[in-house]
Amino acid sequence: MSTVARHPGAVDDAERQARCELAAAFRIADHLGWQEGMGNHFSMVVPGHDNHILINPYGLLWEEITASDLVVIDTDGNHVAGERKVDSTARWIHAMCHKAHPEAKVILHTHAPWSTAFTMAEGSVFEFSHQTTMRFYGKIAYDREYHGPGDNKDEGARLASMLGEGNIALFLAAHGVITAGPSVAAALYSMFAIETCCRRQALAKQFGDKLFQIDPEICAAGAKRHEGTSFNARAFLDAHLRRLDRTSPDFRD
Amino acid sequence: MSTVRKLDTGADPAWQARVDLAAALRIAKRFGWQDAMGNHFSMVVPGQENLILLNPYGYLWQEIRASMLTVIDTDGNHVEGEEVHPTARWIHACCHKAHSSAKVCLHTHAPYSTALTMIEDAELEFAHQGNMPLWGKIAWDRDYNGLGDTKEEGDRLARALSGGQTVLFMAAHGAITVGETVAGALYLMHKIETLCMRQLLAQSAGKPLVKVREDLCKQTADRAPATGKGAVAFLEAYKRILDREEPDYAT
Repeated sequence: MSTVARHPGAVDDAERQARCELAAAFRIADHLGWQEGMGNHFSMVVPGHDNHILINPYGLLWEEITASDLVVIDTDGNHVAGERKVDSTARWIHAMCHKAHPEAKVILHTHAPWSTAFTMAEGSVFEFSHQTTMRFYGKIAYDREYHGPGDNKDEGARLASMLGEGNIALFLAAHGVITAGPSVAAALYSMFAIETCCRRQALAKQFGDKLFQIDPEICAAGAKRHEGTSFNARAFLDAHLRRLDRTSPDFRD
Repeated sequence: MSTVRKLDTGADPAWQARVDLAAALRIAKRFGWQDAMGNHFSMVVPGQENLILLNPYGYLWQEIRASMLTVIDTDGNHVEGEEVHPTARWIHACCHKAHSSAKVCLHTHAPYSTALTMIEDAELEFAHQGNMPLWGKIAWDRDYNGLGDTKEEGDRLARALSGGQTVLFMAAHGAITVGETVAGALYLMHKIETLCMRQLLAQSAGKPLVKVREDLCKQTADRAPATGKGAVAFLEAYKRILDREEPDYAT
């Protein structure tokens, strides 16, 4: 744990690597069409400094964000380093989630189209009807109450408590989705898989109301196989990193 | 990205208006809102309340440059520049004439908001937090009356906004947003397009939608107008991208 104020000279190799991966996650999320206006935010614990988190500043498009643009705040919501300001919603959702769940090194929050539309349908339930859904078996939480934007400490803490222990995705009614994971690769792949599964579920329901139910034992085995940072998740991030290094390498600046 | 873009307060406001309106057309194209040669964005010339800038007919939005914008007056007379489409002339002239607070008026057939206008008696449902700032700001014209290419039809559409609304959904047609600035009206168009997309995706599940509590909607509508700091940041951010990738918009 460290409370030393940061400046660019203090960024070590581990933090530089973390900043590059988190900046890449924004570029990838933009590429996949998950950005909404100026909103939404991704955060990551600074390696070796559990009370400090990297997060995107307000006012930059995801396609603009570079590694050095990321701001550092602490898990009590205080600004630590970085020239730009963080949106109050970003501050409180992420500070409170990291504080409550130290194992979740990365927290992503989006209003991606299909998973957000899912939160707008009353009482919607994530169905285990396709093999990709299995990784989420027993790891999905729902906040069925909408209390307004998460722009204060109390609401941030409430959302953090809704995420619960060991869950990797939280659906927020009338709002959007949060994924949590031990790495950028894991949390990003969860967001990708949630969005894909929500889209598929909506499409499947157009064929009929009753969906296939995968055997719970098979689901549980699938979830176990994908715990932590799966091979798929790492390969997905690495593939996109190669694409970014070709098309927009400035994300590492 | 390391420098913060500063507003150039020294620039001529009339030129700045042209630059912003041209930027809005370029940005709208990037979002996929263009419908062939149709649709139009307008803005009152700063300091000359009876004159408005409009995109000329026959150009794709990605071709529009600040200096190409046409000037007409709020009675629909041509003042300067290439011809505008009659629909552009009457929708925008009448809207600005009737609503002096609407300095900017955007009209698109963007995919999802237009799809919503094709559903009988559709409503924009308050089923997501992004809807809340729009509480009380939405107007509907349920009577499709042909193209808006006459003064009478322009006046009729303008009257639909007389309750202080900033969004007009026109049945079987498309959407209009108005605002005090290009940033405000553009952000509003982006908001309604995103919300309509989400609503139509959510409705494809065939289940009832969540309803955000009315008191929260009202509070948020008062506290966070749909055209606040987000709108300015949004336009400034996309102008940075345009400055890098297609800087001729500002010429």
